[in-house]
Amino acid sequence: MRTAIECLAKASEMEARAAECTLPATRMQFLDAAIRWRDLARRALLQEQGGPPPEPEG
Amino acid sequence: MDTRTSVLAEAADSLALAVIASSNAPVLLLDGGLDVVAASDSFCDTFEIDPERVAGRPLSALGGGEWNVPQLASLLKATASGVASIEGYEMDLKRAGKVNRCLVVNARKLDYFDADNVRLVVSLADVTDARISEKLKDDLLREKAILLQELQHRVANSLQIIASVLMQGAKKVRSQQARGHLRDARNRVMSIATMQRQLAASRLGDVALGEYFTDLCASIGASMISDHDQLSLKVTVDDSVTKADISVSLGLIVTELVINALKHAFPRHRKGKILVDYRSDGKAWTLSVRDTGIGMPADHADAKPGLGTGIVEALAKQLNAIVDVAAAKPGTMVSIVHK
Repeated sequence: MRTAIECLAKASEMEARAAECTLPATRMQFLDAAIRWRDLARRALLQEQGGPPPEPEG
Repeated sequence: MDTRTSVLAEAADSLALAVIASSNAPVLLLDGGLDVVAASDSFCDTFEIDPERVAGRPLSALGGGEWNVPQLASLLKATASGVASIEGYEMDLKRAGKVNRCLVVNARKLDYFDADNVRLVVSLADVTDARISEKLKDDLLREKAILLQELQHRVANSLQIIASVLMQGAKKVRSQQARGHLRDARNRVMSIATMQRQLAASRLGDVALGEYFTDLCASIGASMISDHDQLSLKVTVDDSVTKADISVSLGLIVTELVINALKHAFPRHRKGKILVDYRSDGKAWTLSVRDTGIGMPADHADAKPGLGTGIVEALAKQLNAIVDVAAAKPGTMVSIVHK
């Protein structure tokens, strides 16, 4: 599973692919993938900050 | 060559020139020495060649020499000699300071019945954009697969966190009833999380029920069975695989029925076992959960159904299946049957 920073890097990569893409439909799909990676980065950040609660002892 | 053959060759040449001149595609007419007899306007436009500097020049001398490709020349010579023809030959046209173009070349010898008057028709298709488009689509598909896998991991992780929070709550609360509800909720979440893990491992979006139910029951058993010598939970499933949405419903049904058996069938530390079984035959399938507990109370018909029963009935209805509850002697067997 990727970290928030890695998800953001994937989002940037998808945006770069979209920018160099000349086919409108494919460009939109790369942009859509970039949005989803940003959403994943947000989720990852939330989990990284909070983290799973430790199981209580006993 | 006799006069008749010569006239025929001239007529054929005229026809070929007319075809080349009227062609919207990049086409060349070459002679046996690979000199250009004629080129279509489209050829000159597409490859940015001066139309005035085409006819009579060797193919290898066109443009800036980018057509001087030994392999292409060799294939064209073989075609001219009649020993081969070129079909779908792919080559890269490399021009200084310009993007390489990917071409598909086809060539045919025109039969003039005259060895001294050889003509080759060469058609060229620029498939650069199509190849780029194909590569982009492949890249996109690969990226989508990576994204989907990451989403599945993240969802499974989120569900695991929710289950942990519920379990933590269950361990903290004092009320026995509240603890039970929190554990049930935790097991329901884990049912989905387990399915999510199975789905992430599957390539086609299908879930192998044997592995899924085994993992699911191991998770329920770990959280609800404190003494495994007293109670055992066994799973027998054939090699069935189902779509994810059906697996979710089946997993939730198994969760509810197992929780129900664990809660009600073995009072006062009674020993016993719970058996989860699934088998299918074509479109028909049967899921059953059987326990060796105390069995149904005599007045079970009057008993008020709980949340678990409601969930099982709703899910069975969604799957177009019927719920059958029977005394197993000892214990109870609940079957979900789809015909």
